[in-house]
Amino acid sequence: MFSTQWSVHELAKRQFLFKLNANGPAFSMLIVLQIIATVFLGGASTSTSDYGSEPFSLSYTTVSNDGQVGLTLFWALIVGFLLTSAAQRNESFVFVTNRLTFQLANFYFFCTAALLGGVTTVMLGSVMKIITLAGGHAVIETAGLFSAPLEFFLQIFVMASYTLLLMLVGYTLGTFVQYSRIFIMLFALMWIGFMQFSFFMLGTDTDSLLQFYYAEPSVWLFALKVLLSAAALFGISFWVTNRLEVRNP
Amino acid sequence: MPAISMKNVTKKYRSLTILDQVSLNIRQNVITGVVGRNGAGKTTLMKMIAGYTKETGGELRVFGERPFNSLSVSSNMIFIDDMMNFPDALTLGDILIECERFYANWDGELAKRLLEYFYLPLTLKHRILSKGKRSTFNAVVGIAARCPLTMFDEPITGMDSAARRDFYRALLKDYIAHPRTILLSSHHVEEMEDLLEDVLLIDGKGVGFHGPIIELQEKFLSLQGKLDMLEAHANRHAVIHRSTAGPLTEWIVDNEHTESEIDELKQAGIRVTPVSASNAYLAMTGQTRGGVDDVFNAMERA
Amino acid sequence: MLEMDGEKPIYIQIAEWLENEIIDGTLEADDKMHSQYQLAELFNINPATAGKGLTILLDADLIYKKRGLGTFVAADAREKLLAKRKDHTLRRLIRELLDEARLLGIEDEELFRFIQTERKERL
Repeated sequence: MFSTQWSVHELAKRQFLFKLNANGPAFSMLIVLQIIATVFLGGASTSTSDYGSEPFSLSYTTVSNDGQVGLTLFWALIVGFLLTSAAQRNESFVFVTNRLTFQLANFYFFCTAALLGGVTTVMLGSVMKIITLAGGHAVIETAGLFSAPLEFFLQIFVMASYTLLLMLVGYTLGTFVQYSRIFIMLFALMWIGFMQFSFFMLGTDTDSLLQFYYAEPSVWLFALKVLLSAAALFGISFWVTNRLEVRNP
Repeated sequence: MPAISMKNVTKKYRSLTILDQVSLNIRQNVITGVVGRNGAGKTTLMKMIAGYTKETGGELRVFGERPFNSLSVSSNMIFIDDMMNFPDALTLGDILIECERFYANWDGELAKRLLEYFYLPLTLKHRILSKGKRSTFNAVVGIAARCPLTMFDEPITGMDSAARRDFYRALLKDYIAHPRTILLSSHHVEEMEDLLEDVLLIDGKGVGFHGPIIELQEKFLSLQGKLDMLEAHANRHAVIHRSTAGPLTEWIVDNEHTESEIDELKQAGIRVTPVSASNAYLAMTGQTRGGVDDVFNAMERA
Repeated sequence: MLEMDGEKPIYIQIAEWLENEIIDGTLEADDKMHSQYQLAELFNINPATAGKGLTILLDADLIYKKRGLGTFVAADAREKLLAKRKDHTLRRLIRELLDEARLLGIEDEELFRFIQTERKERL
């Protein structure tokens, strides 16, 4: 009856390639944000401390790429949210897709974007070191590609994981908003409630959610937690996406 | 098996019923014109067939499968209209490459030649195109995709008359070479009627007429003459529509007259002519001259 | 191309166009007819409509089908058409002429004179 039959896998792949082409600007946005972070926030995340007095003194500078990390995560949240827009859905449904292949393609896209975000952010850490070296300082290495390759890749993995999770959070929130505008208000209320809660419970459990990932000493457990969280977010957002109508008035 | 079948299909948006208990079969490899007034539900019907939206009730099948979330239906279907979104980042040339990725029967050579003919350079971005040029580009995509089910919703929006003529011609030629099921909606029935085999009239949340266009062409007769003569002689069959232009009155009546009845009408000085499909459509949907006059007449009386 | 005869359905116009081709000798006995698809292309119409035009000629035995080869002009097509035209078309025109004459109050003799004058002018 049908002259053309595609598998879910094949179409998700093709939709993913289409998304890469269509969303090129998302990547340029990342690069611009990271340049901004390096140029303008470089000083802010570089602190200099002096010890001792003449004639012996020790001056050391802490170089960090917190600025880039922050902006990359911010970017991740926005990109995740943007991919739920009606325009994105319309563009995909102009071509061959159903809601499952649409969601899978988005997920592949997030994985790619997260990896890129992770690599560039960690690499920028090295760039910062080079900048510092150029300033005539001696560098006490932390984790670099050559000094501690395993830890360097671990940094990339961790950074990519955070980026992926934030994209999925943005995506899930966005999907709910697409389903009904009422969720904007609901999320706003939840956010206010959360802020109030943390105000009264200052310093207790407020950052427990963050600690759940951040304070995990085992890489494998961390990976497991990320995997489970990603799966949960994917499942929740798909549950909603699968009901979404395209181009309804 | 029909290409599209519907049994008591209903579509609601919240509490608003757009289509109510629609049952119909669209034949395979036939060009069907989907007509009806603004807001009658033509677009709603087609979006449901495309699997974009979900039917609220009833049974809808496209090539035997429910279209909502069906990959098979999506792979064998294309829906063209002037609201089609293409990513801002892509040029027309890029979009053609994406089409090739998704449509198994895609004819890239035809698409390129048609775009060249319509003066649409591949380096342009879709969003900077004028309304008419955008419609032309979308229509070219619709033709070149050669999908077993091809739907055009108001494809000629904004096109100039030469482009419209060329579009209909291109569609017909490609259809003759590669027959497929085509749904074509437009308000300009007179422009597309020669292209159609079937007509589906959506009216009053349901099907007003569905059948071969030839049937629609033979459905009515137009009687023109003086009002008193019409009232005296043309009283045997239902009058679908009445309109007046100067001293002449035109009645559109059911074409169930015998030959002798027609002779009698003619002898009474009444002009008897066939009614074209587009005029039949206009009469059935109350769009002929004088319809809006009733509003003003009612206000004068009040 | 086609003289769009008022609001006459297009398939009837196609049939009449084909009949005229046979009457004026463009299509002779046993000539191959245009296919449904050729007619559709030629007149920019749906192939089904073109097919319906051909069916009218088939039903009147003006053309015949050869399996797998197409349709061809029947041997007696021209004679049949001439007879039909005399019988139908001419008679219809005469009826209309008489209707008009009555409306204008023109007697038969005057009408004959009109016809004769018109004939002479054409020669």
